[in-house]
Amino acid sequence: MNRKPRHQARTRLVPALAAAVALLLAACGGQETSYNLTDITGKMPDLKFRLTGAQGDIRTAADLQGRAVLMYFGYTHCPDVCPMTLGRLKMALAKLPEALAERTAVVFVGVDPARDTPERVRDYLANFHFPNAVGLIGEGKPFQRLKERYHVYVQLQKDGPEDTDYEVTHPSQVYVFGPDGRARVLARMSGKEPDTPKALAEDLRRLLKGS
Amino acid sequence: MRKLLLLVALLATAPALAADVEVSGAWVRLIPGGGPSAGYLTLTNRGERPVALVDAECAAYGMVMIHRSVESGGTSRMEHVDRLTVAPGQSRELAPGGYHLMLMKPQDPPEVGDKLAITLRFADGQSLEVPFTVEPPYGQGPQ
Repeated sequence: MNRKPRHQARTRLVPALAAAVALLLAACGGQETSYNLTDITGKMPDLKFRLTGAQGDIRTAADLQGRAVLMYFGYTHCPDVCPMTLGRLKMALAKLPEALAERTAVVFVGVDPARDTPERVRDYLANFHFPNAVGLIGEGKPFQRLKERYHVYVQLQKDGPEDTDYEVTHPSQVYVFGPDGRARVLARMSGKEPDTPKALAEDLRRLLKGS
Repeated sequence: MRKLLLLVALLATAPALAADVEVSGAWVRLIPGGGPSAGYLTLTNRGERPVALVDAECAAYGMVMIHRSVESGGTSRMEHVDRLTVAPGQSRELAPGGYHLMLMKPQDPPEVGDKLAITLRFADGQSLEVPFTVEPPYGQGPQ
């Protein structure tokens, strides 16, 4: 059978940026919060981006004013963690009254632009039938700025330039913004003991009702 | 595809047992398009010796690998797994966010609702063909 070379020997360094997010989580512990999930109010900047969208047009945060935003950094060749996360976001939205779900947008940033073409991102997102979804292509300087803004670590695990079946290291959490564009909570929808769709739905309800 | 389905239909009537390995809750999260999909199940070792899953094959996909999603420091990544050992009397779950079968290079991908036959190969040379229920990308598996 045609086997892909294994790469256990590869060093997998998670740089300081990603570790900073973990520290940030720890720092939030014990603090009074009105949310179920990890409160990042005042600890992450307001929603801001300018990237090519899945329709091939330029999208900015201004397009999403008045909506709660669930921003996730994934890739379309991700068969496990990304669809698990998006599936649980779908479950959370299904727990909201339709009017509130309609005021929530899922933003999926494809972090692997060689394979996450606008068409692929559009088709991948369409699988989940979100009330509102925006696909973005994580490419070039605008993406670099977005990664820096939210301490996002992305690593393409390529064995070489010819490798087309590579995996990608990407953030595990979903950044949740209120309808005012302020960063509010981090939701972890994958891995062991993830946040529940119910907990996220309750936080979204708070965010949308308070506006 | 029809041949495959027939085979699965025949197999589905027999208990899924390869010597001492029992499987349950086998399902596939189907991602349409050219990218990979994921297979999940629970392996239970009813025997007295450890069993180790070392490989898997599926006629509908060019390559199947055992993978594990790992989270650390706020990031997710996947790694290859050479063997997944189940101790006697124990179960190992291949479940979303952890171990899974990575179904790559779709050639004749199934549709949601199909049963997809995947052959599991074990270190002792035994193999077991298992029908996986095909679910959509947002599927949560048998509840």
